[in-house]
Amino acid sequence: MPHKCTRCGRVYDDGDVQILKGCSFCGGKKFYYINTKNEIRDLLSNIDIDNLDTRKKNFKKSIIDDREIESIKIIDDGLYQLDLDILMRRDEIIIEKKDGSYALYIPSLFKNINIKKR
Amino acid sequence: MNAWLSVRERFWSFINKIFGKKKVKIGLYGPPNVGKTTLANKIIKDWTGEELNGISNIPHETRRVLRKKDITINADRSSLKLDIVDTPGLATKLDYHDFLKYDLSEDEAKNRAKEAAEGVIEAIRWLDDLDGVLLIMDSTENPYTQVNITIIGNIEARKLPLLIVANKIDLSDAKPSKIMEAFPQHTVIPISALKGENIEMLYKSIYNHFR
Repeated sequence: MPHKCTRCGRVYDDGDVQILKGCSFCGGKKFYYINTKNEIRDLLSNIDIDNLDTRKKNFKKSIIDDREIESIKIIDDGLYQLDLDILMRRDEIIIEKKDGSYALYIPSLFKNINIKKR
Repeated sequence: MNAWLSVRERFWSFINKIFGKKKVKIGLYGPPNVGKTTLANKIIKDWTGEELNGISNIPHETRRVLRKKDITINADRSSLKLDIVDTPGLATKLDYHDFLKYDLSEDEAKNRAKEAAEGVIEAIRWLDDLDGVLLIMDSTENPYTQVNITIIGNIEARKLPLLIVANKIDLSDAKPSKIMEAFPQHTVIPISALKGENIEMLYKSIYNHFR
């Protein structure tokens, strides 16, 4: 049975060395078993057959969200949402403007500009 | 002349190989208002005697990367030359409404949010150019934040040396032990940049960790 870290929620396969050493992500030493049969039973009991259409829409939306490519979203003047992970991992900067259009910036334009030396 | 330069470069390269680096570029990173600029000022004042400004209670006071070159710190009868790079606070959301409560006009607040967003990009671009990172956290705040976890994950992936600084230990509700528990794989140094508490331990750690 897989084990789940009680601190950060990371899941390890049965027999994984990290369960003995401690969680590789947060260092936590406490794990609990995940009873997959119970999880499936809970999942099944939560499905609302009467509202399948809405669920389908939500599912589609979540797929679109996962494919988000913009590093910065301009929601409105003075309102910005930044994806630090994408900004740190990728060289290009993709900005979604408030009208829904996208702007792509070449990284070299941003690199080490306007460095104020004290 | 060129031959002399070449010999000199080779000599220093040889010395650096034996004794470690003698000059390192260290970036001060972290969420807004954790005391990055206060710490940068403390380091600069302690080792150069210079006074620098740019601190306030309003978040995102530092909106441009600021660099101070050639600060020599001494530890254990040896010295290390640092370039200190103070960066704007990293955040996932910038909302001008948050600045309105600090008596800024709407235009000033919107402009501050825009500059803060530019500052975040500039800070991240600087990561490519550093030898090590001091990640500053507020000991009175919960360390399990998206910003902290994202920064640590990325710095680990880049294999950049990292020291975590648990700042503001002078405050009564400070719990630096929570930061130590949260990131046990990294060295955490509890300090108060404002009061100078435990600052000597930080200097020794910088020397040992980044040289």
